[in-house]
Amino acid sequence: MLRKSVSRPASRGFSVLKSLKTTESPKSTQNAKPNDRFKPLSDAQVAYLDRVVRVDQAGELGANYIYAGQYFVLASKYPHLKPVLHHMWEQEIHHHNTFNEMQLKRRVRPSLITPLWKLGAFIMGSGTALISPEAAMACTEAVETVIGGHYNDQLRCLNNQYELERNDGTKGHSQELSSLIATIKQFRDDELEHLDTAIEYDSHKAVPYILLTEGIKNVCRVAIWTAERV
Amino acid sequence: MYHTRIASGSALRAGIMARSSKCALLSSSRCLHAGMLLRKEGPAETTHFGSKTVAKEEKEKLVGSVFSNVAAKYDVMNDVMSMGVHRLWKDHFINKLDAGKRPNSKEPLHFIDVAGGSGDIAFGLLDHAEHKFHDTESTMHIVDINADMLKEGEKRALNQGKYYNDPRVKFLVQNGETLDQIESNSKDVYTVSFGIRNFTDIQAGLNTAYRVLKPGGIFYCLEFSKVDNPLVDLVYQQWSKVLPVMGSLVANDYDSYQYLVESIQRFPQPEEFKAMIEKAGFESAGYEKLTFGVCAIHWGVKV
Amino acid sequence: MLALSRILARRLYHPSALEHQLAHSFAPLTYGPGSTQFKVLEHALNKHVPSYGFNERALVASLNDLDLGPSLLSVIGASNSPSFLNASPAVLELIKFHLVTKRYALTKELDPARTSSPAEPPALETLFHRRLELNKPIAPHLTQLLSSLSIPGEFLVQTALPELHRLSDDMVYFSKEPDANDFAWYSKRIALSCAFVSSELFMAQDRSANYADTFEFAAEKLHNVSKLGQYYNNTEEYMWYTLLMSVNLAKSQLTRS
Repeated sequence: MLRKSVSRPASRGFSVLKSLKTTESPKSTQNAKPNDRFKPLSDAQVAYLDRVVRVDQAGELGANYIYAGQYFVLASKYPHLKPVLHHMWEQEIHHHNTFNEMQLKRRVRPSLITPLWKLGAFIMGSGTALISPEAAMACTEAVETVIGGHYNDQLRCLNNQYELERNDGTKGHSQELSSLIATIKQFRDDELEHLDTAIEYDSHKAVPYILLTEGIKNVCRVAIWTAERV
Repeated sequence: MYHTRIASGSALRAGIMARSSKCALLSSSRCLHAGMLLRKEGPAETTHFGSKTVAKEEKEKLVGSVFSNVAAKYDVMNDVMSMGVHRLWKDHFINKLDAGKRPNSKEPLHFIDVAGGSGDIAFGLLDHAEHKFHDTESTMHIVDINADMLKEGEKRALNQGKYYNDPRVKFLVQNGETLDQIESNSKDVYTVSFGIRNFTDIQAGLNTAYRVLKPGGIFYCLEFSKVDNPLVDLVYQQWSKVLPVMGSLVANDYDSYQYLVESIQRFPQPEEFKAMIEKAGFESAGYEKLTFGVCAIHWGVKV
Repeated sequence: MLALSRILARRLYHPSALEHQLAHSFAPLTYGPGSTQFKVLEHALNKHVPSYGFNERALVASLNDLDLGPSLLSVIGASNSPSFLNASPAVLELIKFHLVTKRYALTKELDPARTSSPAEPPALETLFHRRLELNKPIAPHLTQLLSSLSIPGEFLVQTALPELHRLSDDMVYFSKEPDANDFAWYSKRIALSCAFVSSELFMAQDRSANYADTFEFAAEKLHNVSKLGQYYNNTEEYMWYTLLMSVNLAKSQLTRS
């Protein structure tokens, strides 16, 4: 089973090298006693969890490559933006790694058209950066808005539809589910922080503002819908 | 008394069809119920008969008369109503069940086909066993509450020159909810095809099936079900409205076919029916939907 | 095509087995180890299938041995539809049982949900080798088995292909093989499935002592599997590198002129 150390430096660029597999310690979650075990999840619940991990992994991959594209274009020309972009990119890399780990550990199928997401995200990031730094910030704003809403929807569903019942009748969330909810909550907060940063850095001053933001928002929604299914 | 009730029923139904709102249906059945309350002394135990509400004792008689009316043209009407697809369903049912005494098996099988008066499933099962496994020993009990339907079955056997006056095949008039003449733990295969929705008490029918089957026996039921695809459902609902009209043209009987359509709507959902099968004591209950859910094969095993 | 997309959409999420009660211990099967069907199928697979093959004769022989009635054949086959060429649903269930139980037997000591002290994950070759070994008792009937599995129809789409995929997935997950997060995930599993099927086909006509030739063949095929994942990643990395370098080059040329 894979264990990636999260403290690795985020200078991976576009490398897809993988670390060697090491055995995970078997007591990461204690073997629950029969009475404390939860009843099996329904097919719909399992399918939804599958989707959540897949779409979030694809989403963070997209965000990672968008920031990479923006950094690639803007970092040398606008040195005052370099630290901001780098910081946001680092956080996205951390998000992406978390979901990568989760995908491997939970045996979730990743999105089939991942290469397409990589290319598309990079083009979107570098394309908007080529227009102007404000356009890049507007792109960030649009993407983060959609992602924030998306994470909110997921949190709502996970909190409402997953009241699990144990074998002895008590109800609650399993450890796995609580950690998933906590992770998504944390990431949502990060994304909203990025949204505020983007606005702070004059995203509203981008020239084709409405066109850019609405177009990118729609592209993101379609991408989310597709990544959930394919 | 029955005829007047039906007559008033059809007048009411015409009114219902004109309004076609659920509240109207409910209020009309409540009107009927209230009417009956006035006629009888004290509250009666009621059940549904199509979209009407009738006393439990009456339902058996009413169903009986429906099938007596349709018996003569049963096969023709089935072909017209399902556009021939019912043959495919029944073929699939028989192939999937795949029952018969295998060449190296020691004992023959004992079948019982309930509410199968017309004999299509029963004869189909025996033919399948004979053609596929050269089984000429398994016995069959064809059982129906309605003597007219049973006569149709016997006529069919006579016409095809097979299974008539055959010691393997017995025709009996029995109520599917009790099956008094059938011994407990005596049957290997219990089949019921498009019949169980007409039982007054479906759970009692299932319990009787459990009683009658041997341990290791299988309960196999083909019945109409709920269509899950909304597009297909739309077409299906419109087709259901046309059916009684066709009935009045082909068999000169609007009401019986209206009853049939309504009884389909009243039948429980597949998951609910599966729970009822499990409640009767069967294990490994399951179902397979056919043709987008228009009908479904349910099965259960007596352990 | 629609069925294929349905397979691709099929969930493979495994909620933490340490915290959840499993609905069925042998998941795609709808009955547990205590049920009559399981007993009959296990008896048939161990005792009669090696001599009679995957057909009803083996099943009926087991039913006779266990003193059970022939109506149980309908019970066993209940969750299958008769295939296009009218293969018996009970035989289809027997085949499904064989595939599922062999897959679970493969990873019995490696799954923390089934043992309290899971062993070290072995190499992919070891698991592959082990799975082929499990085929040895029924090897004379492999041709019949594989032909039943390939008949186009509901069984192929609902059971045969998903089981093959689950086998590849299990083999990658429970071994030391590095797994991927992108398209390589798919290419690795497809390559492994192809390797497995071709090894089984080879085994079906292998007459060497103890199937030594089959294992040699399998080792060769496996060598390519890990290569395929690497090739894909190397290609992708190379393309990114080229793209970025050409952009940089263009930029530098523009600034110069």
